[in-house]
Amino acid sequence: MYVYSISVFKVVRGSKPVLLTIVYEVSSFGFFQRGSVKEVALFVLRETVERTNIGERVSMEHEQSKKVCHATADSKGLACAVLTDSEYPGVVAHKLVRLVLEQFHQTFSESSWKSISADTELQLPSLPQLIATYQDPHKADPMLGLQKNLEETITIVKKTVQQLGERGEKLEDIAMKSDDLSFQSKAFMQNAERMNKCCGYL
Amino acid sequence: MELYQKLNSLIESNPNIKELGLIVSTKKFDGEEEKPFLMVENNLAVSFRFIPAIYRYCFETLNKLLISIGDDFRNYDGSSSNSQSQSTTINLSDDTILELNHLSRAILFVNAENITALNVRKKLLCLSNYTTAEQEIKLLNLVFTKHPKSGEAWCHRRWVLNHAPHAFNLELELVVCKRVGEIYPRNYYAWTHRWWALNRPNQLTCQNLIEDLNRVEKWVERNVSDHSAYHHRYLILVQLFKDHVVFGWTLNQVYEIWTNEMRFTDKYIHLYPAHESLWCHKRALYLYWNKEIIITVTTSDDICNIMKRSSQIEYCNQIIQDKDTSYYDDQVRFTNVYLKWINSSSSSDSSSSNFLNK
Repeated sequence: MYVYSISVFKVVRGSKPVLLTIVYEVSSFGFFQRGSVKEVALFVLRETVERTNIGERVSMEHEQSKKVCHATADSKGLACAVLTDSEYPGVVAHKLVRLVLEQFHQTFSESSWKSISADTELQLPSLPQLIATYQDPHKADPMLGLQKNLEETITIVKKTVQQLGERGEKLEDIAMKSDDLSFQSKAFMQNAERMNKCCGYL
Repeated sequence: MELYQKLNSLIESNPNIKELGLIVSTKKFDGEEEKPFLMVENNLAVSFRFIPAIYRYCFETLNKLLISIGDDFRNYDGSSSNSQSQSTTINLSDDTILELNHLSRAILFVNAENITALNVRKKLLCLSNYTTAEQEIKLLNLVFTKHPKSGEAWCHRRWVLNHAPHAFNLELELVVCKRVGEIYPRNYYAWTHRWWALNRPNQLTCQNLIEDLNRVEKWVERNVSDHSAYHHRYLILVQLFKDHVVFGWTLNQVYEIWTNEMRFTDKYIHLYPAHESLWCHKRALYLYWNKEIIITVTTSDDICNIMKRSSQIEYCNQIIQDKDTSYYDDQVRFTNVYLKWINSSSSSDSSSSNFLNK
């Protein structure tokens, strides 16, 4: 049960989403993997957001690495994406996604982020606290009624990474073209699987 | 050669290295390219492309050195304590010992399964005061950050602790097991070692067991699918039952802790549906209870109701009826397997065998 990252993006039609704020919690990884884990996380978050339609709740699972990216986009052009492991209850993750979007809207007026066109890291003060609290889904949401398929949660669209590429692109191919990933991280992604998933990432 | 010396001086000048890592290039970390080693906040990284050269150099040099030292060292099996003559024939200079130590250390950093290097280190521990068991444990802690699933290295650790029992510190062992379990989730080796550590002389106390049970509870709360962790809990619970007389426990205390475990499992099956590990744990608890513990239960003990087959079947029926749960199909599949299993495992207990037919 781990939340690795929480992020908010500005959705731009026809081009890559623009990062507005992000936090990571990667202390469970080895020290020298953390840099790459962060880059890969950002890459997955961005790719998932790009493929999320307005109002849709997406949980994108990568089966081999057992990581899931939960994302949603609202009509104002904001999207939030959260990266967890596959044990993490999807409903709690989506609750977190919604909460973060709400708080982002409360903290920043639309005009303050509409004009941003390059990746920024705005300070959303509650974010570090949120990622810490939500590490334990049971504590974050004691009801955990979350596990119930209530009306709203039925709409979670489960996608696999294979579906990520729209025209049959492979994630690996997309990754190789990405600017979010350094050479180090690309090698890391390629090797993780071969090394019996030691690195436990993608 | 140069690389090897550089590595040694880095290690000697940083006695408290926390983690060991492999990196593709040092460029990303400090802007300079093509550096073989890098220290960041007391963590040591070795650049990928320099590994073969270091390893080859160290292994070849070690082998040459071993040949030059001669058969006495090679055949030495650590049993010299009873024969003075043998230990005097192995007369190594301080330089040689230092060299053996450093070479084998560098080899372990790259490959923790190198048995030649591990054996050299065992001999050094027997022969000299140069490396102490404490230092060896510290070195192994570091090696595990890069090689968390190296069976040989875990084995070496147990050998060292057997050889020098004074270096054993339960707390430290548990901390290491936990961190290594984080770096590599569901790490069977780390959990095996954890149980081994608890079973050291004088460690198998009631207090230690209960404390570890509580610690592991926190772990499974966040790693619900970690089979090894449940198995560890199971071993602790069995031990508490077997030794309850030694521990001065009443049977009721045993029943309480066992039934609590069953309740804990039931609760988590509910909270996090469709994790097979939880169902397996439930099955192990049920089996052991009905095989070993039930004989001690007197009929009036209400406290044990939850362990009865009828209660278990009732619980399963609840799960099956809870159609709103997520992952319903998987959850029901595991429930049915469990039902089928408890029905076949205790056909002698006929009192409730027709329960399912209702």
